[in-house]
Amino acid sequence: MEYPIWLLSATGGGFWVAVISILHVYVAQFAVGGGLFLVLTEHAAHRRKSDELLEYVKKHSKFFLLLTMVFGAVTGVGIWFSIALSAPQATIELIHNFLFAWATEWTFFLGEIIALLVYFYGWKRLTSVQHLTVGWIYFAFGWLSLFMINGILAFMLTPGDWLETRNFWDGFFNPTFWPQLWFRTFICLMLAGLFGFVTATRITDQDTRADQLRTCSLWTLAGVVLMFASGYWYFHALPPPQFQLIAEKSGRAGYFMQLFWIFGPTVLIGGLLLGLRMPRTVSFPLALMVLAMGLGLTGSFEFMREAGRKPYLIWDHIYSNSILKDQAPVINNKGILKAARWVAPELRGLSSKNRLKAGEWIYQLQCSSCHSMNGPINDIMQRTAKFTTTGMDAFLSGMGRLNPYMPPFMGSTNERHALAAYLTQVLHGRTDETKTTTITERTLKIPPFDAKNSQYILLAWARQGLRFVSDTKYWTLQPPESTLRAQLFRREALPEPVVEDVKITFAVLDAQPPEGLSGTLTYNEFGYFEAVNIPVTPYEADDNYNPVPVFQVTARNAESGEKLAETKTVLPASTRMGCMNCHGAEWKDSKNQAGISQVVAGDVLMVHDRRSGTRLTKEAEKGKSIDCRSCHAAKHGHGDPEALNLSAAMHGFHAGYLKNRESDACAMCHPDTLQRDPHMTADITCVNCHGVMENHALSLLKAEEQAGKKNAARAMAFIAPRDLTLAEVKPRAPWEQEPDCLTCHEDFAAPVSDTAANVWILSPEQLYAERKGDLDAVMCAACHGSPHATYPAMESPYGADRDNIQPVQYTGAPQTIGAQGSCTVCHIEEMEDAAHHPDMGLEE
Amino acid sequence: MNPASLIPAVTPIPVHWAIIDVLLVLTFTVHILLMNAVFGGGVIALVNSVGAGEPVARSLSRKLPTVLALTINFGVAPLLFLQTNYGVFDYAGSVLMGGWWLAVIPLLLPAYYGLYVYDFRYSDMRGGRPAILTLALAFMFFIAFMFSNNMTIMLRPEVWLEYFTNNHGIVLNLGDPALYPRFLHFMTGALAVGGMFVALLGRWHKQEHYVKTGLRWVVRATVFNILLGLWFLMSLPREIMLQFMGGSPWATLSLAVSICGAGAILHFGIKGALIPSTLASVFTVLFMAVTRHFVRMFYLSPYFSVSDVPSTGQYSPMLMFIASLCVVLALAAWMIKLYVKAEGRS
Repeated sequence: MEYPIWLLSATGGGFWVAVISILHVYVAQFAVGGGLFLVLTEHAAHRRKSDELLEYVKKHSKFFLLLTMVFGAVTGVGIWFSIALSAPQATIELIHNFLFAWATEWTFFLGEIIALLVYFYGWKRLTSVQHLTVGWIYFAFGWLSLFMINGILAFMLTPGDWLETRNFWDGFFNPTFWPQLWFRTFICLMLAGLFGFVTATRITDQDTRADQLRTCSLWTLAGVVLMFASGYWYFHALPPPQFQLIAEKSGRAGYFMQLFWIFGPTVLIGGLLLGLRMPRTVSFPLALMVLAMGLGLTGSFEFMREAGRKPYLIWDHIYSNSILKDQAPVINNKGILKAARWVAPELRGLSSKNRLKAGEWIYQLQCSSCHSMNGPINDIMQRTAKFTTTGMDAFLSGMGRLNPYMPPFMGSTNERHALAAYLTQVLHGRTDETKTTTITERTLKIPPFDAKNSQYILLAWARQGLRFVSDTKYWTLQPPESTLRAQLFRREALPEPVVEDVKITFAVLDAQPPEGLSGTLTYNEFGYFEAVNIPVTPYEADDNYNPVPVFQVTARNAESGEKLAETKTVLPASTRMGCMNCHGAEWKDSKNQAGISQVVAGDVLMVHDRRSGTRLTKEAEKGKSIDCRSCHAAKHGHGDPEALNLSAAMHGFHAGYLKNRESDACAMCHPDTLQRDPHMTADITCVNCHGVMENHALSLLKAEEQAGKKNAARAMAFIAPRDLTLAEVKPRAPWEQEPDCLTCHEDFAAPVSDTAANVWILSPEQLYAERKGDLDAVMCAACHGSPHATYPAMESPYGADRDNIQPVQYTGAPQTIGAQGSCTVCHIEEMEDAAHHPDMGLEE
Repeated sequence: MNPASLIPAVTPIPVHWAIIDVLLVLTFTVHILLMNAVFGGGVIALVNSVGAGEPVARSLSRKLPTVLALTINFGVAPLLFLQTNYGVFDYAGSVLMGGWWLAVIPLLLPAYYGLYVYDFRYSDMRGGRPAILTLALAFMFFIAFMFSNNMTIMLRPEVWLEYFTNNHGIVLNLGDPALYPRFLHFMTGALAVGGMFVALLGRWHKQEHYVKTGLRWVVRATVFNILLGLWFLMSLPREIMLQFMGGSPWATLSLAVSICGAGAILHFGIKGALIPSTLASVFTVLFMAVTRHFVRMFYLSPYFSVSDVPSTGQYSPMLMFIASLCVVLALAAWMIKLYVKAEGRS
């Protein structure tokens, strides 16, 4: 925000800080523990009167001088240089707050090097008592340096009361000061023991060598045991959010936690075996290997501590990208390109022309501090490869909440779009936005209807007018199992439903492979014929894509086979669920831009595994197809009673990435081209009936929370309701409690409102798809069409009248069956009363 | 675009700015004296690699690593105090030259180790001696040049605009006409102080020809440096130069005292009076550091006045610093005394 950003690509993301810091911390901690090691070993040499051992300590002291004083000092300055370059804002904040802690540390550093120089050059000059005294002073100053820097390091992770008081001492003696001090002190002991190991292998006298190796191994062991004990204290002294990040939340910390636990015991066992039991067999390379283990141990600890601090540099104060937490509202309000100081003048105003360049600049400002480009640290190329532009944008909008180790995106919505465009279109050359598919228009012959002489009228419709199916073998969300329904009426003055001695069959007419796409509908107790589990997919045999295939429906006399009536209807099924937007950015069927590819399916499972601790990827690799509904109960499903139902889980999780949007949020996963009813033309979209994404998800989660499911509250914490309070959001069960048509169409009249959300029907019988008119005979959908494709449906790009077949067949126009005085479709006489429901256009 | 708009927002410092400025100048003086001793001493050792002066090189080789260790240590303090009061400028400038600036670290390491090799392996390698020392000096020369760049690019926000055409961290302050005389002035000063170091070493080892060699370097380098200083003064922006010519009485006084100090160095140096000459050198360097500080304030004056930086008034940590400094200095003095007293035992 305040400082320029050094443009680094492969070595970005804090690479230099990481490299220099790990090397330095290792050597610096060695210096502290080694100081003690030197004097104690010198003591031992004098006590035993061992010239060999004394010679060993002398050599060791030279090694010390060259390693800790030269390498340690220079890399220590190096850390300072590198953090000032990569995070100047945080560095200056630390310097301003802890100036005299650093200045004090500098004095100890001065004392340390003078003591070490006198120690090293004074082997011959000083008496043994003097020499040992100087050695003790060296150790004391080394440890005091650790004492000082420990305060600042611990402060960054746990600033404690400083956040309120801004007082030096509150920040310095913060909640993890003491546990971390001891933890690091014992790490020092362990490392010194390890270095002793390495150098002891160079002793020529076999007895001294074995003796020294044994001592070093004991030393290492003591350090390791104490380190683990104090480490336990340290991690439990962390406040819950930091502890959680380290222990659970951050996948990265989790990974390093594992490393920590592998390296720790290895060092422990290595130290034990090598030193205690076979001191004579320990070779130099072997000792070096044990040393490498120690390096891994400290390295993994530093990484874990860093992970625990995410998304901050100073917890709750400065984000990892050096933006002050307090500045976030200003940046969100003004936009980062206007609020940041170092922005090229031509990028201050965002336009379509400078969008990608602006995106790049925003990347530098907000992302580059933690991400490299094709480099070893958090490679942005790898991490953004699986997103389309819209998916990337959604991900950015959810950062900081569902990805707690990342800061939230800060800036305007347009700036977020620009960043998403840069990340996907510039870095990955994506062109999703401009891709289109060709739709082949199919001819459709409207079946004949003899209004004068036909004795029967057959009405058929899809139970779901908008249906998405998953087509991956790795998992099943909703399988291709469509439901076709029909009602047959005898045309009379008062028509009667025909339920006996009739056989109604169906068969696909379009180019879909015919297997399973024909059969018989059976009559049921609810008063209609039905065929279920029809495996409809949009894929035609000739590789074309048709999400609205037409089916022939025919009613015949069950005995004679005489055709009584015939019609056609579509059974929609789309495989264009938008999982690929965020899970792999590729379609299974790239020509038609549809389907769940293997990459996408795998990523979904991987993310699920990472976030929920499952092992679905492994199971899928073994060939098992994961049925999402086996845990997350779906319609008629039997899930894990502890897990959220499928709808609550899906919407509850993804809503965090889809805040402050309208129906575009829905369309990210459920492309809205399948909503074909006239509401769409009146700009009445998903959100008018189902509510905006946040409220929609909350209504589902709230019901689950009330059902006692613990995960519901966790998911709800990431979602803020819109235009309603959480208390006002009405809980609902998915598929059973949907919006009610009559909320807007009061008493079946013209709409009084355009908002039906948050008023749910109470039971499944009240669903539009399950309801009948007042006479309890005709299903609503029989005359009005399938939900989301009600008559008069929009003109279909797949062919004229495709979604209005029966209205055109029976009334000659795309309209509701019975509208405009078309009662004679069923009734052989004109009717005067609106018997099915009020306001059928017959009232005066 | 107004470069002033690029200056980061200033945040409060813990104590009164003047305390930090004083600490900055004092610790910088020590640092620059040590740095001069190691670089100047190194050059003198190199020049005396062969021939009659070779024992001088051998003596120096034993001291140079230690002086470098102290140089680095005493570099930390002034940089810390500089960043406290002037960090908004220094950090912005550092990022601009980030690549060069960070390169200081990996180049300092071989320079440092080079000096140790030069000492520890002195007798083992004959031909390699000048090579390794040249390499170490070359790295130090580079580092010094980077410091000159860093310390001057921070003073010129108008150069910062280059960031918008080059943000790869490779911008330097090469377009500044004052950079070159400034740098050469410092490096030539190093030869003078290096000479002083050699002379002191000679006095310590009771080798009077060292003293002569050393003082010769002091006198010649100082004469040359007076000319360079003049060039430096002339190369400053006019309004800043005029501040030292009466525009600012304090700045003028500081420069005048420094020039008198240089005169005193020459006077005592030519006479062969080592201790007065040494005291004059320390005194001159201190006043040069004050003068340098004035230069910084004048450069920044259109944008910034350090007296405007607010303070949080948290003085207690400073007491901790003063206490620790006293303890460390006392113990350091004790240890050095111990070492020096034991001279005979070795």
